[in-house]
Amino acid sequence: MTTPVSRAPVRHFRDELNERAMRREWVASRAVWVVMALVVVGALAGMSGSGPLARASSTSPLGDGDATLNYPRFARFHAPTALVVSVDAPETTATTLRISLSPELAGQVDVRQVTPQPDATSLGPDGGVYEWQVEDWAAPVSVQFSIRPDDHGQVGGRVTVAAGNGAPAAIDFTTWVLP
Amino acid sequence: MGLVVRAIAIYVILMVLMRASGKRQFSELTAFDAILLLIISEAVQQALLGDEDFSLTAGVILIVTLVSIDILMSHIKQWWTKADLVLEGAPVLLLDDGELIDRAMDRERVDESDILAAARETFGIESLDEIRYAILERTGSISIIPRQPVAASAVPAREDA
Repeated sequence: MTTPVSRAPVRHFRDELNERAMRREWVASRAVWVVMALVVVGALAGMSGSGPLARASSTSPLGDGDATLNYPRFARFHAPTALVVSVDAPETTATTLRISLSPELAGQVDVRQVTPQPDATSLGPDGGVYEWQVEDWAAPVSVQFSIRPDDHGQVGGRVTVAAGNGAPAAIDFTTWVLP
Repeated sequence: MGLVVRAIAIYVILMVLMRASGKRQFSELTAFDAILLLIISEAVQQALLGDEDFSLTAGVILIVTLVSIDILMSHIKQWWTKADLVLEGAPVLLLDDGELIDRAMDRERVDESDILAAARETFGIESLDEIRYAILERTGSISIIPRQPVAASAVPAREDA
């Protein structure tokens, strides 16, 4: 019994040339070059975590002063970034600064470190609450939350800042976490 | 699941980037191209493994996934001619019956010296008018078809042969 064989058709190298596919390939590769350029420009502008558009600030009135949240516009999945809360309230007589991070935020980011270290932490209806004793309000007080996003896409929540008996400042923010 | 998704994403991204960089880009590696490939592999490693996962299991899953996709792609290319055309491209004629095709050479970033170098290496050809056809293959190499059949003794011995 012989193995069935098929006769190879006679083909010229010109049969393999494909003008249309070639032109499409050139157009597609140029389009990818444009996308690559946009990625580089976006990264330089701030999508990579640093750059002129990387961070944003939001300020809200707080009793005798203002609370400002500086947050990343863009972050990357599992890459460290930070939320910085600054309180400028030189007139306040409060002795305690209380900052809380909303529960939905806790589910989306991992708070790895708080600087300076809080004097007390607790869980309240507004989420995790961090407290510091503040002796001198003459200069703005800053607290940094080192976080690591554990989720993709739109991540955000509310940061509530309270000092003394004045009305607390609630600041909402949104960060886009890239995969 | 994350490892498999990441491996597929990286495979697709690398394939698109390599295709967009052109047939010639990595076909013949210069010393700098080799360094560039090492840097790319180093950059991709973190994205593939994620942070803090250096387990044997993760490595095996990634390797199995990548090789599986590659085998699957080769089958798809074999079964479906259009996919083969999209994924691998088509050969490009650079020199047709002695006439240089400037547009194709420009688009593929090939110049006369590249064609001459390929002609010298394969047939010991000295000038362009001895070449009938030059074709940029899908692999990025340049095939030369000379005007006159070249005697075997005239073909230079290749070092890698």
